[in-house]
Amino acid sequence: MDFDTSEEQQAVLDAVGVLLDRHAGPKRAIQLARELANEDANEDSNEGAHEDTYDHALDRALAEGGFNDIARSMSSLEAALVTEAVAKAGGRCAFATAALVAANLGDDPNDPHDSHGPIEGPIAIALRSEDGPVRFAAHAKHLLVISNAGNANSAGNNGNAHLIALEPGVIEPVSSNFGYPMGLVPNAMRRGGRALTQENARIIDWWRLALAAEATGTMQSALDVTVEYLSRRRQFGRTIGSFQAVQHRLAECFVQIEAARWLTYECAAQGAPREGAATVAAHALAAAARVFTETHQLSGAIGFTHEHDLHVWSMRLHALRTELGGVAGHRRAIAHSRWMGPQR
Amino acid sequence: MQFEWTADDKRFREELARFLDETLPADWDELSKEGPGSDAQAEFSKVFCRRLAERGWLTPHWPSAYGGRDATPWQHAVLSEEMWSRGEPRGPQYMNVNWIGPTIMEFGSDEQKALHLPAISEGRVLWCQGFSEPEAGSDLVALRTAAERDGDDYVINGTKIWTSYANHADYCFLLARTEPESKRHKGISVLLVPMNTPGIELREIPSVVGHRYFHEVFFTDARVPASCRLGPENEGWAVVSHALQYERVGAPRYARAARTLDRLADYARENGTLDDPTIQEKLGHARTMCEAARLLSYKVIDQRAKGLPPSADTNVARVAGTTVDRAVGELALEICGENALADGSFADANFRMSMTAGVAVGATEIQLNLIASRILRLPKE
Amino acid sequence: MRFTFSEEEETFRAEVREFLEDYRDLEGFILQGRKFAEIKKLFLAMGARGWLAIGWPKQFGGLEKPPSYEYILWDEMAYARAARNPLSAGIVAKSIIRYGSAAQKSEWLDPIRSGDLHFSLGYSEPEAGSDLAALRCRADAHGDGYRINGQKCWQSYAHDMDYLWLLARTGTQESRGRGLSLFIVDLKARGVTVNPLPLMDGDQLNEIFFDDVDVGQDQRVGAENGAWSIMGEALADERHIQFPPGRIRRDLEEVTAWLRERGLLDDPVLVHRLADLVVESLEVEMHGLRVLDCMQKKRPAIVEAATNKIAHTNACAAIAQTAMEFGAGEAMIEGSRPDVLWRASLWEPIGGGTSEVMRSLVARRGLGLAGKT
Ligand SMILES: Cc1cc2nc3c(=O)[nH]c(=O)nc-3n(C[C@H](O)[C@H](O)[C@H](O)COP(=O)(O)OP(=O)(O)OC[C@H]3O[C@@H](n4cnc5c(N)ncnc54)[C@H](O)[C@@H]3O)c2cc1C
Ligand SMILES: Cc1cc2nc3c(=O)[nH]c(=O)nc-3n(C[C@H](O)[C@H](O)[C@H](O)COP(=O)(O)OP(=O)(O)OC[C@H]3O[C@@H](n4cnc5c(N)ncnc54)[C@H](O)[C@@H]3O)c2cc1C
Repeated sequence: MDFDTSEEQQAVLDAVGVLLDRHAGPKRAIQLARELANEDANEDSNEGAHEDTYDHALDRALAEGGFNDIARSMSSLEAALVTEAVAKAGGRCAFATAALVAANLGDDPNDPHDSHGPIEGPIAIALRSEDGPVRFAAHAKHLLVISNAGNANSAGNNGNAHLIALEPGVIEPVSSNFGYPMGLVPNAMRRGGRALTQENARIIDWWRLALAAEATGTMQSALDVTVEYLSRRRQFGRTIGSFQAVQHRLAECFVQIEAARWLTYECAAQGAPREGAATVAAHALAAAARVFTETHQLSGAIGFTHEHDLHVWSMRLHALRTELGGVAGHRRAIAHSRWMGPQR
Repeated sequence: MQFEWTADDKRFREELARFLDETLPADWDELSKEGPGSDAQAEFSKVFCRRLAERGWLTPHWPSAYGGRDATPWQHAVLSEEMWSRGEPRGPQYMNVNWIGPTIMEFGSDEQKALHLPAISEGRVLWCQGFSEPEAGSDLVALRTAAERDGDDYVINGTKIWTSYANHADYCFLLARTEPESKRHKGISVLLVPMNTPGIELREIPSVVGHRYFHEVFFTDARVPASCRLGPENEGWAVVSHALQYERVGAPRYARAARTLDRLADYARENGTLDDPTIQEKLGHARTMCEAARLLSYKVIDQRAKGLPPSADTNVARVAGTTVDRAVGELALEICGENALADGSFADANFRMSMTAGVAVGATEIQLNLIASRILRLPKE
Repeated sequence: MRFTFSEEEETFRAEVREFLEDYRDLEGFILQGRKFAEIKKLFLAMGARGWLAIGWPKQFGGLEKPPSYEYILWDEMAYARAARNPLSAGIVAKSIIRYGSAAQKSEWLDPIRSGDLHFSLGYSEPEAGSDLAALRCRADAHGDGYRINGQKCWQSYAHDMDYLWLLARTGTQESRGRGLSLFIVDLKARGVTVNPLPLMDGDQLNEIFFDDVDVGQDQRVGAENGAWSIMGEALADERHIQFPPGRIRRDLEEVTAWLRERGLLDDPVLVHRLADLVVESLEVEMHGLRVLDCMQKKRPAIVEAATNKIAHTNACAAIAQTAMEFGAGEAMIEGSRPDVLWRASLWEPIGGGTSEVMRSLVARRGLGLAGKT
């Protein structure tokens, strides 16, 4: 056991930090969310208006920096650390899917038995049974479809995942308030594709871990901006952050986030075991609701405006919460694997 | 960063678990129901701790100079988890080995060491902790119990309250004011007081938690020799602070909660309710809290293993630990339904054991205050 | 003790419902910022029936009905999602009736009663949110009247309204609540600038700047420096209609229907959650009635209203949260029912006195706990 980052891990975090300072942050997230192609045209503007809402530059920088493959070059723990950092910086690209899900498809390029080779990103990930918006789908080159999630039942997740190549423009972007670019993926478009070696249930484990890592970084920033704001904001001749009623609620949020963080790291280090992955997703995404509610409530009216950065992170928390069956589904998955599995 | 137990630690846990399976009597569940302070468990602890001591497992974390094995803080954590998850068969003696002994090693005279350490490491003595007073709970430094110097003696007057195990204890680790008129942290000393000293009287405080759980301890001109004082006179606060360092994470409540939860799942399975998704959801939720508290405690153990000074991460771990303990206690009531109502039922016993979490050993609100100021650095008034 | 309305009251409720048939799809209650033109038509129709002045004294053209009528009216309005009670006919008119000069009464009450004139609430400022008494926007004596300088923010609907009900400082900064006066300010007057404050959902609040805006003595309502008690009384008049339980009833019905349409009600976890919410919504109903009961008996309802607000806004959030949580991806789409309801639920614990301020009130006045602020 060792809860400190190793030198190599710290080097990775420092490197991604430099890159995120340059390519991410709340300002950029707000700009990407709001400004369309005509303003502040960047290199991708020729790909159409909605293209700008995805951070291609960040995506590319992370890929070129080798971060997408870090689960292979180092381990999934480092991939989780970087995922958390990207989320914390408000990065608007599908890094988590690349680094924690796609990297663990069992499609190891060095493995002679593996025929798939690397998958070109961005990759969006969706459940076959659903038909709503999917994060990053309007910009994705590939859609990873997981069938038969059945919410919780691990026994129902047999069968393999499918990969569908997406032609540009086939997926309609959809307007959403929840902080990520999204595309509408009707059920019919979730059919077909080629089967991967990895079975659904395993991918769901990694997906859960990825959600938790994203939620952790996102929650941390939401709390940070709130604490920072309330340490300045004065009413009644006092700093609002000095009221104990406020302090306790922020401290409770901290306890939840801190637990999400270490559960995420441990789960990543252990390779996303079934029960552990369900546990960390259930915990982190339940915490996400609380962190959302408390940070907004305690920020007052300013928290709802674009002039204050809170929304960059807060709104995303709810998007993460809706994926993959939601908190209730994750919790039930724990029960299934711990108390209802064949081993018992 | 890495999250693997070493092979040694794993083996230690396995051996310990096997030992417990073999050693705990068939009626252990029944026996342990009323908590570590019950007559039955206090008695049992004397037998059990002796057997642990024979194996070197009562004080493995003590230095070899004092008969320990220099086990790491991680192994100490394994020990605590295994014990606590079985309802603490060491009874009140967990206090002796966790912090009373180590504090005596640090501050004790040779005489004190010779008197107390073997008794503790051989499992033949019970202690109680005389900290809280009617007017000094969360605000411990408001304590007023006085120990006035009279020649070679101290004469103690005052009242301690909530003192667990006082009825069984041979000694009390007592905090008293040795400097009259002193305020707050100053002027306090630690006294190691034999409980058979004339002038000490006990009153049991009946409670919903369990029989003989709480006591009031009255000191009326109780006279003890000055050689009972641990550490320098009037510098007792430093001694206590040091002592509490050993108790950084406190009892691994999450370990007991996790075990209770497994049993609740068994109960639900046997009663056909485990297939109910709402039950699954609740069990799963509680499980996330156990795991959260476990990792937050490990973070503190990691710091301790590295010899770092105590940090507010301790408070974080404590909040999570008490939260899960109470949540599982309440879930037991819910899952067991009316079966929870009978005195001594599984759910009843668990609930009562869990309900004091959040108040005992530093109330949750105090932990939150410390997190707010030390970690979030929120401003003071 | 009686938990039903009288026959006459029920008849009135039926009448309101029938009236509202024509406004079914208005959605003014949660989307007022975007629908004011249509809402104004509704208000004019209500004005024609005397309903905007249902509780006013007869001498000012009111129907002088007991609070239960206002309660029923705005409860049904909320349930129908037609509109929120307008500031004009409530706080503004009731303050003028109590404290206005004869001239002010004759100038303002008629157009307000008819639904023709509307007001925005000009209280909050950047540095005066929860702590309203810290506000700085000044109205200094100037010529025969006052000259206003300063800034307000978070004004709902100000971009659609005719006038501002402005709270400004006429005394010293140190006099806090005792140095404030109320003014009626034309939002189109020279020196007034209304800027939108975009919210994260694309809707807006506004900030308002005053740059040497001149107003006459006749635009001040009530005594100079006497605003605090006027505001308090006006607020007290409105306690039974500020947070009508009809909103909660409707939210829960809609969310349940939405989830049912998507075949999600076979999830027992969700069904349990909804059952909890049914209980919560009944609690809210009871809190609402409790406030009304105090009003009917002319008793203060400070603690009851604060309790109601906390329960009401908690329930509102919990219902919307459930839709979000179980609505999966579809809830993410802008304009989907869960999205709309959820965003509308977010402000409720902040606008109109935050939950924290309400809790402090309950703790101090209700539970008698000692405390400052
Ligand atoms: C099961 C159990 C066993 C115990 N065993 C022992 C023992 O063996 N020896 C011993 O000495 N003591 C023992 N205690 C006492 C324990 O240490 C005290 O109960 C604890 O310190 C709290 O003090 P109190 O009960 O007086 O509560 P109070 O200090 O009166 O607190 C009451 C409530 O107010 C809150 N509060 C207090 N101050 C603040 C603040 N500044 N901000 C916000 N909230 C605040 C507390 O968190 C708590 O919720 C035991 C207690 C229990 C429950
Ligand atoms: C949708 C919406 C519409 C609005 N419409 C209008 C309008 O039309 N006209 C108008 O004048 N204003 C309006 N407001 C402003 C509203 O009245 C203020 O937002 C409110 O008074 C809170 O002030 P604040 O936002 O500055 O929060 P702050 O006062 O900065 O408070 C921030 C947080 O700290 C908490 N807090 C503050 N003091 C304490 C304390 N002593 N103890 C514990 N917690 C405390 C608050 O409860 C809150 O959670 C509107 C607000 C919203 C959100």
